[in-house]
Formats: sequence, structure tokens, C-alpha cells
Amino acid sequence: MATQNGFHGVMNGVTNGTADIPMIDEEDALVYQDGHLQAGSVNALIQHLVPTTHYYPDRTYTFAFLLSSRLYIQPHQLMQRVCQMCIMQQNLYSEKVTKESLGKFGPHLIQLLGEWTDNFPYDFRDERLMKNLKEITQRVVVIHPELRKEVGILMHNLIAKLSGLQKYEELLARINAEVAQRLLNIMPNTDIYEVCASPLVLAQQLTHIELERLSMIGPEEFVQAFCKESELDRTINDLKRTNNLESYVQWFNRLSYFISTEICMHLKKKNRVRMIEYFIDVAKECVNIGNFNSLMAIIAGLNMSPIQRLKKTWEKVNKEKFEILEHQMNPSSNFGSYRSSLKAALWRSEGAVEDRERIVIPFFSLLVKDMYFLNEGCANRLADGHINFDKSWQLAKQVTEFITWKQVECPFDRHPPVLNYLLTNPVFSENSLALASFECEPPENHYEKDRYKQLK
Amino acid sequence: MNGDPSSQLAFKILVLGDSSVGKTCLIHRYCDDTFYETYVSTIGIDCKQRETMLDQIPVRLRIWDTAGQERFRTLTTAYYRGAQGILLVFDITNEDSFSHLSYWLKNIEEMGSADICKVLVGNKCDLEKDRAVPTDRATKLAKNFGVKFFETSCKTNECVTAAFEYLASMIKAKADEKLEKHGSLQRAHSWHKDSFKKQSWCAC
Repeated sequence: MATQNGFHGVMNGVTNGTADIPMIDEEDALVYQDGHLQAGSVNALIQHLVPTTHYYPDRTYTFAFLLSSRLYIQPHQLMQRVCQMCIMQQNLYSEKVTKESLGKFGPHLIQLLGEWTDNFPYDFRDERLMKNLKEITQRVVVIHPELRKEVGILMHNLIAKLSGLQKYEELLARINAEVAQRLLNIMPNTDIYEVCASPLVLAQQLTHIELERLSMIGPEEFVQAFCKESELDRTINDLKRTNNLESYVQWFNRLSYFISTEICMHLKKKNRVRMIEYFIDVAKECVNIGNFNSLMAIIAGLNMSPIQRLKKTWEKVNKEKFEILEHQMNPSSNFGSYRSSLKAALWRSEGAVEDRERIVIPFFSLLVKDMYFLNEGCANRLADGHINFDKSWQLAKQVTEFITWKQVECPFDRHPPVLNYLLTNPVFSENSLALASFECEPPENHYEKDRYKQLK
Repeated sequence: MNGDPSSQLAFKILVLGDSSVGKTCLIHRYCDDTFYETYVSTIGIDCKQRETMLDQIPVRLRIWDTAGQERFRTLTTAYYRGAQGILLVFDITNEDSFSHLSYWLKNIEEMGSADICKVLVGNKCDLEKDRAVPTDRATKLAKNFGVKFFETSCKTNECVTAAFEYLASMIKAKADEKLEKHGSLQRAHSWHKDSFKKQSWCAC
């Protein structure tokens, strides 16, 4: 049964007529079912986030709301509304306000802002949010001087995260520049096997790259990816301040192209066979590590048409091993076999004593797909115009899992030359790959012959 | 074999095209709305289905949505397996989604089976005032590639069913051709009629 929950004593500080935030009335209350928050107006949900002298929101609520609210209100607008509500409810700028009259409000507010800046630091790339944050924390510190230290720590952590993001973006830009630079030169006559003969070591280096890129993705980036199709249609440019999700996808594509380039660049069949078998071994090591994303990129690379068509090469490959791995990527039953393997890895991760057992790097494309369909399948708003908070809980649940995965420290030694080769060695474009493939094994049918002529 | 629902004709259809051209919306329009609620992470459910009648035979269309996956360029391979038909979609208000069709067509040529059926769909035709791709340009391209072209709107439901069912009838014609080669067409017809009597199916 649905019950309505009012906000007792919450609105004390607001006098009628002064606020552009309406008073909470019957229609504005939150809707619960079996003690579970189901729906509410935007206003009531914001109210539920704002702490008072006696009230502090549940952490899971704060996370779910901050994550999903961007589907219908921009973060800087939300911050502004939160600040306004605090100021009015607590009379923050009145001269009569004292530490005593505020009770626990000050520590509560700092705690809330701490959760926001911890979980969604990239929101504060927006200067408007940063300005609001500075203003309100300064005001709280004037009233509660003892909170100065906590506010200092909060700002310090936030700035560290933002500068970490900036450094990461600069690193990616440098890598891209180097790739572009090296493209101008002639293909080097070395291959990955010469740089790193051990499949295990290569799988470990791939894991380094995966975890680094994964760890930089903000939980909100999944939700923001949907916004272009939702209510905030025209404001997408305003909202989007990060590209970490896209960078990670780019890495996946690069890895697939890298695999097929490394194979196609060998004109001798013997070398191509060795290379394919090497990558199959690397993929197997990735499974053992729990690095499913690299695994899938390798299989996708081996399945690209320029590689698949090399029939004479594949004849010499021990295909049995490949088929076992390929089964992992079978999309039937909604990637049923992969999801089972993932479950096993999660089970291992939960009981882990060492960092290396904790690693779970999901098949990212499927995670994105799950989030996409979750967003498609549930409406943001119910028929009565209220926000469908059930959707927020579900989004939060999916993203929370992802946060545990991305926090794992990579326990393996770094091999900079190998990492450098993986990240910056030029890869063939689609056309160059096709051409290289035809030079490995000549075109067989009409379509291939035409294509080859075009390419030459 | 008679009346066994697993022996019913079923076609795998793939909906391809750039992101935001409205692929999910088209599928949503054509099929029932129950899929997405049960999709998420549920092992077993991976496509939307709708039953339709072709030449008085019930046919189940399994429609695969690749939306949300467009950025993963190397992944479409997995989806192509076993696909008999492709609904290639662009957005008539988005020039880029049209010029990108050559990429998709090449992709289909390389990854799809040789006898895969295709139709071209220009979606969002209710947004006439924002049109960026004139109908005759799209018709010309479709002609060059030997495929039929439909302009659809999810909003007004214009031609959505027509596009899917034209594709389905093409696939069925190909399948019949194959069956005929094996001389078993008659038998197939009789058991399909039989199963059609016993099953409930969507009449729209």
C-alpha cells in the first residue's frame, strides 16, 4: 500500500511568499511502497536530500538520487536548489543564526557535500557548482569554525580528483598524438611477440590498461550517455564535461584492430599462425585474470573479416582452444555463457584474499547495453508526472557493482615498453587491413576480387 | 513434428544504423512493450519478438536491437551470425546518418551471409521541416544497392509495420526458394497451417 511521508518541522525556516521553492503539500509528498521509496516530485526528492538539524538522508538514497537526477535536472541546477533550500530552511544568512540553533545541520551538510564530491567529483568541473560549493561551505565554517578542517579535506580531495582527471586527459592526448606521429612513419618491422613473448605478461599489461581506463569513468557517465535522448535534449553540451566512457570504448576498438594488424602484417603463413595462437593464449590468460574486456576485444579482433577469411592460415591453427574461448562471446541467451563466467569471477572476487583474485573487468559493451536497455525500459516519469524512483534504484544498483570493480589496484608489475607498444603502435585502418589480408591470401570470390581492385 | 512450436518459422532480423536514428523506437513500435522490463541481465532474453502472418503462415520475427552498441565497431560480428534480414536505418533529419550508410552497407557485405535480405529505412519522417535528406536521394541510393526504401515515423506509426513485414516477406521468399529446391515445400505448408490453428498469435 502506498503511504505518504511528510516532512515534520523541516520547513520551519521558510516564510510564505519569500520562496520560489514551493511549500511541500499533499501532492508533493513522496510515495512509498512497503517502506521502499517509489516515486515523488522533483521538489520532494530534493527536499529528501537536504539535511536538517535532525535529519540526514540515507547514503543509498543520496547516491541513487545524485546519479539519476541528471535525467531531469542538471547538476548545477540541483546544487543551486539544495543551497537555496538550506539557506531558507536554516536562515543561514540571518545574523541571529548560531551554532546552537543549527544543531547538527552544519556537520550534516558537510557530510552530504562530501558524499557528492566523493562519488561525483566530475560534476564540479562546472564552475557554477564549484562556486556554490565554496560559498555554502564558507558560510557553514563561519558558523561552525570547528568544521574548517573537514571542509579543507573535502576541497583537497575534490581538487586532487579533478586534477587527476586533467592529467589523465593530457596523457590520452599525448598517446593520441604519438599514434598520429608514428602513423607518418613506415610500419616498424617488429611485432608484439618480439616485445613480449609471454602471453601471461601481455595479459597482465592489458589488465593495467583496462583498470586505468575503467577507474577514470565516473558513475554518472553511464547516465549522461542517455541524456541526449531524454528531456534534456538541448542541453547535452552543457551537461557533458567528460569523455572517459568514450575513451574506454576507443581502447576496446583499438585493441581489436591491434590484434588483426599484428596478424595481417605477417606475409608468411607460419608467422600468422604463431601470432593467432599467441593471442589465443593471451585471451586464455585474460580469462584466468578476470579481464573479460580484453578477452572480448581479442576474440572480436580474431573474428574481424580480414582475419576470418584467411582460411589457409586457420587450417594450421589449433582451433579447439579458440572455439572454447569463442563460446564466451556467443550472444545467444543474452550472452548467457559470459554472464555465467562473470558470476564465477564475482564469486572469486568476493572471497579474495589477494588483489589479483579481486580483479573483475566486465565486458564493457554489455554493461553499456544493460544500462541502455534499463534506461529504455523504464520511464523517467510516471503517468502522474512524478519521478519514477524505482528506475533510480535500479540504475544505482548496476552502477554500484561497477564502482567496486573499478576500485581494484592492479597488482602486476608494469612493463613500460610493452605498455607503450600496446598503446601507441600504429594499427591498420579498415582498408589497409583488408588490403594486407588480400596480400596474405589472395581474394577468392567476385566480391573480394572487386574489393581488392578498389583498394589497390 | 506436427504442431511443435519450435518447428514454427522464425526469422532473425538485425536493426542497424548510427546511434540516435531511432532503432529502439522502431522496434518498440512494431513489437509489444514487454521486453525491456525483463531484459536487463536476464539470461535467456535477448531480442524482441513478434508473430505475423505471411501467406497465411504464422512467422515469428526475432528482432535484435544493436542500439547502444554502435561505438563498439568490432562487435557487430557476433550479432550477424544467423541473421537473415537487416533493417538499415538512418534519420532523415541527420545528414551524417545518411552518409554513414556506405559504411554500414560495406559492413553488411563483409559480415552478413551472402543471401541476407535488406531494406533501407529513413526514420523520423514526421519531422518534415527538419528534413536534411531528400527522399529522391535516398531512393536513388536504395536503387543502386538494389534494396527497397521506406520512410517511417515512430511518432505517427507510418510505414513501420510495412517496412518490417516487407523484409519478412523477402526472407520468406528466399526460404521458400530454398525449400522448393529441396522439393519439400508442400509438406512444409501443411504443417505450418496445422500449427497456426493451435497457436494464438498477434493479429495486428
